[in-house]
Amino acid sequence: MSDYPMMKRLIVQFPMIAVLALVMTLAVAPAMIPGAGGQAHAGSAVPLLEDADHAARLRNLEYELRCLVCQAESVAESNSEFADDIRRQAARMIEDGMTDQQIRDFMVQRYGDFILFRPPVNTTTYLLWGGPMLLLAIGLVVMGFIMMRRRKSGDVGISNADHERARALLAERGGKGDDRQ
Amino acid sequence: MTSLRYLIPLGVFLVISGFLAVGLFLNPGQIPSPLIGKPAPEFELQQLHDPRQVVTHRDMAGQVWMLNVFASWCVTCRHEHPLLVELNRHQVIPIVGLNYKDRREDAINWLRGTGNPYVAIGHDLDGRVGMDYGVYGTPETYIIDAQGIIRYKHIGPMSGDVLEKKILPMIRELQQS
Repeated sequence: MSDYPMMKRLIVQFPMIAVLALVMTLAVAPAMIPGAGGQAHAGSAVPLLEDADHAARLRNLEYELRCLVCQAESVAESNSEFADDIRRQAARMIEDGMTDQQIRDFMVQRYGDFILFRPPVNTTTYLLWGGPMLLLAIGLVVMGFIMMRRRKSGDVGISNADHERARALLAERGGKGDDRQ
Repeated sequence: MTSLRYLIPLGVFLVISGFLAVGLFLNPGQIPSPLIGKPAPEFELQQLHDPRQVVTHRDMAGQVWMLNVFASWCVTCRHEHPLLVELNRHQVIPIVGLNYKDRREDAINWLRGTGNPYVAIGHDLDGRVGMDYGVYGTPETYIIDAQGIIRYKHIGPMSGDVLEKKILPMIRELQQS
């Protein structure tokens, strides 16, 4: 294979990079927020907040909070009464001058981490966040071992017995007995 | 020895399958409460039957008590209500009702039909007290100890099985200490 650098690049390195890219994307997955493209928004018919900045903050928070009744949806997308309650509470807190983080903390204090779509980074969730990268690292290490072993025994993956036969045949022919041909 | 190495991918697969299998039996509707082990949130609500009176978290201090979140519009509450009536009849534990996002008249009428197992009922019209307790559906039931700490939360209607296996033993244990 080392005689054909182009082919090696195509067959070995290109797929490796593709897989790498895929795993990197997956590694970021815990941070992705569904619905943040802004497609579905089930706000109340009358806007809760007059001020444009406040309304924008509320909108962002709504996408970050999970509707616990219909759990795949954010509070922004859900039509349930629970989502409505959360929206109103968040709107009230924005008007009272609380920060986004204070509002998130308020919700987590009552409902637990599950109400946030983006799981917090703490000792319990290190594995969730780091897992994909950890698996990638393990995969690379294993691959490294395999490649190093391959290199020691020669690029061609044939057994030692076959090596001997080849050497013997070449020796008969008067060649150098070198297994590089 | 090399043959053992070939078992490693199989081993990894089995481990992952194990985790996935456990996941199949988990119920995402059962969200663990972060309030277990923490003091019961304070509240002060009008009593359902008499708005001139209030019921507060202080009323039950020194006793092991149960907080039951219910509403007349809640269908599954009907399943557990007879159990609550029984608990009250046998004086097992004082039960405080949290009437959640319900119209006063509707709740009073409903209780008249099903029986009233509560020593007191707080009328949580806008659901704010419920939110402080992390309520996201009905019915939900909390067991609170004599020091005012929440020790257990049950989501959904209680069954005879749950009462027997989890709740009654816990109540007995808390009442003895």
